[in-house]
Amino acid sequence: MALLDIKNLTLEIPHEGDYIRALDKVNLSVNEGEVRALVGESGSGKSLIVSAVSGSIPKHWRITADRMTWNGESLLNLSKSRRLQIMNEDIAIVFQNPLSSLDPSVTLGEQIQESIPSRLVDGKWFWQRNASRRQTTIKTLHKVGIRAHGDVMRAYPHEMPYDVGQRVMLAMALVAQPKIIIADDPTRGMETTTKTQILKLLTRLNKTRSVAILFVSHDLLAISSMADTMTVLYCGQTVESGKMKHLRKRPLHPYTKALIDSAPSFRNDLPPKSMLPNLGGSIPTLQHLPIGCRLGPRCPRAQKACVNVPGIRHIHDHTYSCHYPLHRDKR
Amino acid sequence: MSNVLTVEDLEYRCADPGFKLGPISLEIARGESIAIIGENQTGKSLLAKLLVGAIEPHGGRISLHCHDGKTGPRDQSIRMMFQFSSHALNPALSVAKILEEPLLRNTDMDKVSREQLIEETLLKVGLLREHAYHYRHMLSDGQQQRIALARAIILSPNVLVADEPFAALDPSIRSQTVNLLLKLQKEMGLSFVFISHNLGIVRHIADKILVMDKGQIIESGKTDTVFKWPQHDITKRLIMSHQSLVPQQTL
Ligand SMILES: Nc1ncnc2c1ncn2[C@@H]1O[C@H](COP(=O)(O)OP(=O)(O)OP(=O)(O)O)[C@@H](O)[C@H]1O
Ligand SMILES: Nc1ncnc2c1ncn2[C@@H]1O[C@H](COP(=O)(O)OP(=O)(O)OP(=O)(O)O)[C@@H](O)[C@H]1O
Ligand code: SF4
Ligand SMILES: [Mg+2]
Ligand SMILES: [Mg+2]
Repeated sequence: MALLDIKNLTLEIPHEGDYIRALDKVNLSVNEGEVRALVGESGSGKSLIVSAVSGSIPKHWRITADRMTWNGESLLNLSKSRRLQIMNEDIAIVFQNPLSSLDPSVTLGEQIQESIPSRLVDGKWFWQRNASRRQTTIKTLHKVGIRAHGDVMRAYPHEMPYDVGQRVMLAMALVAQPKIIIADDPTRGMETTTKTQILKLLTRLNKTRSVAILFVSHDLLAISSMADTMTVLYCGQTVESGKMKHLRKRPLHPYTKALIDSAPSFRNDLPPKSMLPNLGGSIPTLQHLPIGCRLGPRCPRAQKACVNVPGIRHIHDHTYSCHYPLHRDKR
Repeated sequence: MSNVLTVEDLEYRCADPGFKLGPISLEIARGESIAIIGENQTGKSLLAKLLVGAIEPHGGRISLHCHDGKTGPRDQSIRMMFQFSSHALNPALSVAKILEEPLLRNTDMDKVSREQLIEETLLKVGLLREHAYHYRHMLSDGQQQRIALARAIILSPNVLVADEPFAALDPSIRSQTVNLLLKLQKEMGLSFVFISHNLGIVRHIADKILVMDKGQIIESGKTDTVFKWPQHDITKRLIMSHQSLVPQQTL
C-alpha cells in the first residue's frame, strides 16, 4: 500500500494579481519500504512538493489535490497537533538548505538531541536520559560521517560548512526512526566518498528497517544506485514515472531521455571530449510558461498536438504524459 | 608542448593553524584541461584562488606565459569563475555593465568596440543580444552561469580557472555548458583548470587530474591512468566510490 499518496496536486502562487501554477496536477506515491527518486531540473517544483507534504506552504498560496494522504489519512486539512505528531513520529524531512532550516541560536548538539522522540530515550532519571540522548547523538553523527562529534555538537549552524549542515540535518532525521525519510538534495556538493557513504547509509536503513525513502535530487548516478522507482518532473508537471530500470533502459518521455543522456557515466560508448547530447534552450520561468506541454519549445519531437497538455497514459506500472513518446513507433 | 602557466613551490598558511597549503608545483599546457578533485575542505578552492591571484601566496612563484612566450598582464591571461558564480554577479548591474567592467579596467577599447565585443561574447556562450539588458534576477541559474563564463572569457584569457562550474547546473544545462567549454577550447586554445566532485564529467573532459588532500597534491596524472590505476589510498577511495555508483553494465 502507498504510504504517501499524492494525486493531482496543484499549487498556485499569487503573482501580480494573478495565480501561476507552480505545480500542475502532480502525481507521486511512495510505497512502504520503497526508495523513490524525485528528479527534475532546478525550478521544476521538487522542493515545493516537499513543502506541501510538510505543510509549510504560505497561507495565501492555493493548494488543491484529489488526494494527498499519509497512511490513508489526508494531509490537506490536518489539525496542527496531529500534523506535528506525524512529523515527529513518522515523516522525517531533510530540507535542502540546512542553514535556513536549523535554529541559528541553538547548538547543533542540542538540536539533534531534541529531535529524539522520548519513547526512544532510555533511563528513568533525567541524568540517565540525558546520557542516553547524548549517546544516540554521537552514534548517529558517526553514522553520517562526522568523526569530530564534539566540535560539531558545540557549534552553531552558521559556524559549519554547508556539507556538515547537510549531515547534521540527516542525523536529525535518523534519530527519530521515522517510517519515511524525505531527503531534498541531501548530497549536493559532497565529494564522492561522503556521498557514497550517505547513500549506503540510506540504503541500509531501507533494507534493514524498511524505512521508505523519497530521494529528491538531480544526481542521476546517485539515484540509479539506490532507487527502485523514479518520478520525473519538468516545470511543475509529472512527465514520467515508473521502475528505475525501465526508465533508464526505455524512457518514453523526451525529457527523461535527455536527463539520462546527460550523465556521461551511463554511456560506455562516449568518446572523451565528445559533445554531450542535450535539449537546446533553457527552462522557462514560471512567469512565461508555454501552453500545453511545457517541454514543447525545447522538444525535438513536438508537433501541433503538443499545444494541448498531454494526458497520463499507462503501460503496466509505467506512466507517462506525452503525445509522441519515444519507442512507441517500434512497438 | 608550450606551457601557459608554471607554478613553483606555492605555499599558503591559513589563520587556522591546522591547515597549510603546499608547497605545490605544477605546469599547465596550452589547450589542456586539468581537473582538481579531492574531499571537502582539502584546499581546492584555496589553490584556485591562489592561481588566479585573488589571494597572495606566502611563498613560491606563479608565472604566466603568453602565447608569444613573454609574461603578460595577469588579469587578461588568467580568469576565474568562482564556486557560487551567481552570487558573484552584482544584482544591481545589467549584464552589459557586468561584462563591460573587465574591459574598462583592462583595455582602452572605445565604446563601440566594447559593445561589439560584449555582443560577440554573449553569442559565444549561447545567449542572445537582448540578454545584455537583463539583470541577475531575470536569468535562470544556467543563464547566470553563462554570464559568469562570458565575463571570464571576454578578455580572451589563456587560462580559465573554474571552481565547481557544474555543481549548481541542471542536467540538461550542464551538458550544454560542457559542450560550450569543449568548443571554446577548440576555438580559443583555452587551458581549463576546474574543480569538480562530478567524476563522470571529470573523466569526460579532463586531460589530467590532480588529487588534493590536506593542502597537498597527493597524486597527479593522465585522466585515464588515474582512473584505471589510482595509486594513493584517497584516490582509490574517490574513484571506487564513483565506480560503485556507475551501473555495472556500462562499466
Ligand atoms: N516563495 C516563493 N515565491 C515565489 N515563487 C517560488 C517560491 N518558492 C519557489 N518558487 C518558485 O517555484 C518554482 C519551483 O521551485 P522549487 O524550489 O520547488 O524548485 P526545485 O525543483 O526544488 O529546484 P532545485 O533543484 O533548484 O532545488 C521555481 O520556479 C521557484 O521560482
Ligand atoms: N581565504 C582564505 N584564507 C584563509 N584560509 C582559508 C581561505 N580560504 C579557505 N581557507 C581554509 O582552507 C581550507 C580549505 O578550504 P577550501 O575552501 O579550499 O576547501 P575545498 O577543497 O574547496 O572544499 P569544498 O570541496 O568543500 O569546496 C579550509 O580549512 C579553510 O578554512
Ligand atoms: S507532448 Fe509533445 S512537446 Fe511534450 S514531450 Fe511529448 S512530443 Fe514533446
Ligand atoms: Mg529544491
Ligand atoms: Mg571549494
